Amino acid sequence: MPTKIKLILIILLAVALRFWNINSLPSLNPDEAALGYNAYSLLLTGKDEHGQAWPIHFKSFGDYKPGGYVYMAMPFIKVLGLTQIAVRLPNLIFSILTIIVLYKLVFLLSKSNALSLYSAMALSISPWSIHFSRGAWESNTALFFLILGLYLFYKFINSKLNNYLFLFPIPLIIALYTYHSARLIIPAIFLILFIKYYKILLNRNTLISLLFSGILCIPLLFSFLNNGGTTRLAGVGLSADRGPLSRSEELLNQHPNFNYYDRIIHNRRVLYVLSWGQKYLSHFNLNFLFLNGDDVPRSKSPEMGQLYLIELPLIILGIYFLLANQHTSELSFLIVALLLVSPLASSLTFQAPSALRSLPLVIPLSILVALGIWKLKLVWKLFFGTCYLYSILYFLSSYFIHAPQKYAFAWNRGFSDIIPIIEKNKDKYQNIYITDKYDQPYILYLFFSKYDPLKIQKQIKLTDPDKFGFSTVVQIDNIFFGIPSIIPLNSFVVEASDFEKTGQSFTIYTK
Amino acid sequence: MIKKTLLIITICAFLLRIVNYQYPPLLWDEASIGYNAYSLLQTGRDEYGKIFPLIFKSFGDYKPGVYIYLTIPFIAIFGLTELSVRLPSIILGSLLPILLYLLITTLNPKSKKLGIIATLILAFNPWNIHFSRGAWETNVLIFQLVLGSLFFLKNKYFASALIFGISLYTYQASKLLVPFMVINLFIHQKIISKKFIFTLGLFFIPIVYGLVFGADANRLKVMNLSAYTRPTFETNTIIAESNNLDYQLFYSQPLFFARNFLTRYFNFFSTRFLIFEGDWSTARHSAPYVGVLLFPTLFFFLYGLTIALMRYRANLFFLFWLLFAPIPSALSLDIIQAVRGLSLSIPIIYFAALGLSSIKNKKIILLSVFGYLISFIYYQDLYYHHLIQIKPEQSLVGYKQAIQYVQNNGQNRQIIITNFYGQAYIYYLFYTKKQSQINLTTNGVDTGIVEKINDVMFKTPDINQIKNSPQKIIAILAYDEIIRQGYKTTDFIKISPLFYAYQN
Repeated sequence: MPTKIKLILIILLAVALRFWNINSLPSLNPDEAALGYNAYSLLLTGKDEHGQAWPIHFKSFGDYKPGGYVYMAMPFIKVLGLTQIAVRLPNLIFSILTIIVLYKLVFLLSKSNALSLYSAMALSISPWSIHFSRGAWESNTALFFLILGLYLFYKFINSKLNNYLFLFPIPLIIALYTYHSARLIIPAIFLILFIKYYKILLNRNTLISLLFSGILCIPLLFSFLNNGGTTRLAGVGLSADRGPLSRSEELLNQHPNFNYYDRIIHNRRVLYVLSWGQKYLSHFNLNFLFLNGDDVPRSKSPEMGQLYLIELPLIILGIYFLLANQHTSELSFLIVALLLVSPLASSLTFQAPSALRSLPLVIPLSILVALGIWKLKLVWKLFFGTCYLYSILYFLSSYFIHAPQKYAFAWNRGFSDIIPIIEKNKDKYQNIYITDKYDQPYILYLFFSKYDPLKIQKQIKLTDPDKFGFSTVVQIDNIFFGIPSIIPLNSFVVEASDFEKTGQSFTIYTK
Repeated sequence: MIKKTLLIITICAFLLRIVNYQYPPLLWDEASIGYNAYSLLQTGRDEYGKIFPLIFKSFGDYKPGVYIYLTIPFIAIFGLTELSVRLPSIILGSLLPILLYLLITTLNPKSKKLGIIATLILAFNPWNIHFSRGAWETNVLIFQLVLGSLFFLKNKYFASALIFGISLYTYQASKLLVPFMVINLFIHQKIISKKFIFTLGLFFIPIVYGLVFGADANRLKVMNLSAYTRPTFETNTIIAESNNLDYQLFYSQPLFFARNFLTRYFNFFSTRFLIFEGDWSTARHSAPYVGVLLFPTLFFFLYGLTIALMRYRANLFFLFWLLFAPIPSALSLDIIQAVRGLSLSIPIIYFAALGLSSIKNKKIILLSVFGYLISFIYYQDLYYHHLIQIKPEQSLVGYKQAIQYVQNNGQNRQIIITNFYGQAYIYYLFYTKKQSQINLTTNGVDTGIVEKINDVMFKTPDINQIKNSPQKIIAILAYDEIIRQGYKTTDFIKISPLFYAYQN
């Protein structure tokens, strides 16, 4: 079978796994709704929900989302209307393209068709990749642009053609405009690559290319500084974790009269560095990678690791192969660099390990899996193939059947169903109360009711930020998000109910 | 030169293990070991009146007896003190580095440098220091594992089988570890010695008998992970969400067991355990906020492991050891268990030494020595200043002082000692050296709760009752008991963060 057909089959498999039932599963989450609604608002009024014209960062819940994805979603919303699929399509398409570019990248570095195909295959069936492809996850979109940038960079290194030198920064800059974590990961990885290839890169053209890229990043930098990007960092950054601080106090207090030396070793800075180290290394915890996955319900499916357990022996084999064979040294270097850099952004935040922020890890791990399976005997390939088949079925069961029921709240199960009911009763009652048990219900309401952007821009009012720096909207017209203890007369109430117990997501009553 | 170096390292190891030997305070098991050995020495019977048993009932946990017998000579010399209880572990723990050197050089006569480095790392390794400083049976077990392997590799099969055989009566985990170790040795030597199997087999007979008929089986059942099942409501939810086939295929009991086993197994290879937190489920098993290895050891371990992977044929013995060492602990209920997993320290140290010994760059070596120094100082502070302060209830701080207090102040008074932290009676026996052979009667069957010895009661003292009692009473209370009875601790004499004294 020619390579092209094999690649097409892999892509078809990837499409099947990513597009199947995409309109109903997972339910739209508030971040996706915000991206979609802001794109909608821009299309109709040229301003976002807060009345800002063409922003680079969208204020949204006070978290100032990087705007790249909103602009990417606009054409799809223009054509398809404000629907789930329209918001998700850009990321879905990019997730498929990632597989193709990965194939090309591995082929460029290894000159092996088989290895490249295995890499593409490993990524296409990876639960980590599938999870963040099925939804408007900017992290996954940024990953595509990172891989594309890497591919073009290596194209230049191999061919020394100047047009690649000017091309490769473009996808990287797009990634910077799309996702926070990329702003740390991309400079770090390219710093490493520049050091390795400085002999090839040290010329006038590189300087021009970099200068040009720098100019393109200036608006981003200004927008970041002006829009409280730093406060967002403080909200989710390492220093937001008070743990090391109180630990420092605890330890110092246990020395009856602490001296200079005790103050050095129990210094909070020392403890913050240790805490950072622990978070960074936690991304390589086998339980996180292969057995239990992320702790955040929205980023996981139950009883699943980020990868299939069966990939652990393959990755170990892959590492062995990397060490034993020197002829793939360029590829090895890239794998190691990506492994080391990918958890950086995630390790600097409050919550680690985070599958979402360290998503680029899936790339080197997929290549390692491919390296592991590449030179196996046919019997072993069949054995692992069978194990994979079982693993995929296991994942499908976990992701498609159990996750939406087990994590009903985190996955916003059934919220779209209540919108028509609210719309019908909105004018009949004086007050409408909707549960705030779901995250950011207001944006879901705006999205599903296709609320007029002009009307929301006039009345939107964010609450004070919580300790993570997030705000929300508690009132739109006569609709209140959050149910008071005393409900006034002439009210229509939509309360959350426990899906696992009652089998329905909401209880509706009037007063 | 090598002999001198080994001697110096051993002296260092010995000092690190014996200095300040009263710290941390004795744990229940240590007091029990000491008292039972004392009792044997005095009367030839254990605390329950059994004549020279192999397995001691103790708190109903049926302790394997080897450690207790090892303690007898020290108690004969030094009397019933903390030192004599801990000396067997201290001495064997100090000799382990030399033994590891011999093992490594026997496996590969050319690896003298590697052996010395491994010896050094082992002497200063927090995990091994921790369990060498107390009467931990597991520490004796890894000594026996290394010694038995050494004999085997030197083709002394009878001696080897004898050591492995004795180790079966040293610590529970050996019943799984020894078979793995033996298979590992057979594979390595490509030899199956009949003499060896026969001798070791003899030692196994009573254990098999005990497993089938004895009380041993009980403990195994309670501690075993396979007894841990998915809660029924969870099972029902899973089936309700999908169907029975889906449950059987992906979530059934064997798979649930495998998941739980692997979670525990993987925890041993997490950086959280190895360098950041140590045994996070039981505070007394490691120093707080720091792992069981020094920071540089982890990096050299990973580096050494990659080297070993490339030359895996030469390192199979330790690679296998690395893989099977966590199995006994992964089969227990605890999510992480530094005690049972102690034998993992040996292959880790071997690979770390392999990594460190392959580094030629002088600057890196200097830097790593500096890193080791800082890391060790940091560990020592956490061990000596914070281990018993962060969770005093885990280290049972103050049992000794409490017993001494009632001994000094309790003449002609009824003595009541709280049992809040468990097994108070054994501390009473240990520190008062009361007549053994009291033929303890326990209340239930095997719970091992002793409520009374002579006139001394072990129960929660009722403060109001003592206040109004015409009888003269002295009582030791736990902090929580005072608060729960509605009193303030200021009305009591503080003995330790855990214990307060009261008399009417």
